[in-house]
Amino acid sequence: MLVRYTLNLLRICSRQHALTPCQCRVFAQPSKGYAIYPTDMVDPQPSPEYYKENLPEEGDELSIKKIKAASSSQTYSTLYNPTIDKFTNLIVKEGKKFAAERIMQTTLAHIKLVQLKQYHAATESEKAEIEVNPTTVFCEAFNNMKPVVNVRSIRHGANVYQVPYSLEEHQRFFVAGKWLLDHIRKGKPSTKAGLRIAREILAAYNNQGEVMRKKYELHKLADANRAYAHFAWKRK
Amino acid sequence: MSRTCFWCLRSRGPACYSLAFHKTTPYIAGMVVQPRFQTGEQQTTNLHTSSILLRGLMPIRTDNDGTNLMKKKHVRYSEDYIQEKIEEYKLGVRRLAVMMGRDPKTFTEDDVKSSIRYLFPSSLTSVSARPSLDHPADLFPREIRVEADSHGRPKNYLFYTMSDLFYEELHFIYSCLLEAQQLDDRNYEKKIAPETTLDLKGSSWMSHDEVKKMFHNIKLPMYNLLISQLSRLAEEPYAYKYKNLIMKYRVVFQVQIAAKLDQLETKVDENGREYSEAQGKRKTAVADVRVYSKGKGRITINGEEFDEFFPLITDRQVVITPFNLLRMNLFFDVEANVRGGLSGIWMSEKGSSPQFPTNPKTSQAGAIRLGIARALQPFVGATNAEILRRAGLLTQDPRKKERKKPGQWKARKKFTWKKR
Repeated sequence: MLVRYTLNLLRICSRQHALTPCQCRVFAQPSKGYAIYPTDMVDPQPSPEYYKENLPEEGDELSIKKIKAASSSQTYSTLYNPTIDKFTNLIVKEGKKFAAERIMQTTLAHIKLVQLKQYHAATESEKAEIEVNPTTVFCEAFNNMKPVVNVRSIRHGANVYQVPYSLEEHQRFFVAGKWLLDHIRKGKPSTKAGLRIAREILAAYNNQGEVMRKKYELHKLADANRAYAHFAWKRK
Repeated sequence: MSRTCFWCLRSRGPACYSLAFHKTTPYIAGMVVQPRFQTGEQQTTNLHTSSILLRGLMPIRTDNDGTNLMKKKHVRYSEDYIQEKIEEYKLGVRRLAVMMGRDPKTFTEDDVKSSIRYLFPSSLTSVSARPSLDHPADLFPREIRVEADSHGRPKNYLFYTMSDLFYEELHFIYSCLLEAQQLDDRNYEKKIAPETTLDLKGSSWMSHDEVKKMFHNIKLPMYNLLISQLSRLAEEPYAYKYKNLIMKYRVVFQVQIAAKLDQLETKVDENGREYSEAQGKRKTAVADVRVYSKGKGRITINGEEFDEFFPLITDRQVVITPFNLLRMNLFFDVEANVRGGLSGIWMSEKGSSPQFPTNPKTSQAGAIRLGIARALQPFVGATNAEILRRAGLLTQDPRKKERKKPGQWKARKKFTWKKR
């Protein structure tokens, strides 16, 4: 397998002599079948402002390191938001990210419409407090939905207990996203998916809605069972 | 790890050391070779070509040990023995350099490897089975010297940690940290500032493999602990006093990766327009890209306009990413020819609209993006080229379609699991 791949690489690389001596660093097949990139390669920063502020200097930390390739969603435009990008990845089905992108666009458009309505209907003093930017509304609401702990069933003796454990950031993100999408996928197809997401987001922005209720219930359950937290370590 | 005999390229065994064994190997008619050492009578042995070349490399030695390393994995060798082998190795490397027509003083380890690969090409898949000329320190494990008193009690108080030198070092680092903290406290009260600061630019921490050479048998968590302790020490204001200790575990880099960027030339068109060419790839898509220096921001692909060729906005965003990053969207023109990359080309066009295509061209967009980023380098300056590199736009995305495995439907999807 290795030999065939290296031969293919040689064939590919030999065609390049026609144009330019390019950096032909391709790791075609992972050596042990797990990681694509070697461990010493570094992720690029997603925001374009980072590159304006931290101009490259000689002898910099990054000048020595190899950088991974930027993904296709990494556009380095000011409109890029990592939370929204990651959430669209959760919506994707069968690899059709363009469909998920359209759904997100309708979501954000709807959020903006609703907030604008509120803004124009509000008095001068209230206007300062209303957030119209749909990205900030989405991120704040999504943060509200993220649980801090989760529970899992652990058998201790004859009984099964719901034992709480803390969550890492990426896990919190995924749990919130999953709740939101499961809730939306129960809705009627007559309403657009983007609309359904937007309604739930706007409710969560005000700490209301089904997903927020789910989060509070989970927190209550974890709090009630916090005495059993040590069962995660002691297994009998 | 089996080592091949330099004579006959077979697995090394005690028999290889006798010339009688080699009399049975295939010979070249009429070839007469003088043996390197003096035997009782003049021997005319007809030997395999490769062994003729190898004759000059290492003196023939019949060791009592019979270094068939495969059978003697558990054996550890003394320092003197390893030193002897190192001398032989150095001699062999010098002779190899002379053989290749190179200066022995500038003959590096990589040169040794490449010349052995040139002289003895092997299509064996197992790397350890191929002919090689390794440094004896890598081949022969050293014997561990244990300092103990007459009763057999080890002298080092950390002996039973199994890596006493390593833990001694950790204790030392911690004591230095405490000293540095105390010094800082005292001088802070007296309002004395530290004289200089420790500058760690241009160097980075040693890798796990390099630290393993210093303390054998150090696993990854211990290595991480060492590096974290050293980093903690390096953060102290009085860390410059322990510079020797910290620099012992640092590797200084002279050649920066940024300097290895493609040195692309700018060419001139028939119409007198300056441009540069590059190629970009993504999955199976290949794009030949030309970037013209003085332009209006016009992009043409395979003769078509940009928004005709890429109806999806996401693909268009991917292509102009390098321009977005550098804020130079309207200063360049792009002409690209892209082929390949349509893995779904056999899917029917039924039910596809511009916004929901059945055959999206995202891989072609990625290929063009890489081509643009590479071609932009000569026009845009060294700092901006380095910015492109740090943004990951100059690295080719190595992801390919994972192969289908036997016993599974697809790359990952398995058949239904049946308990019985």
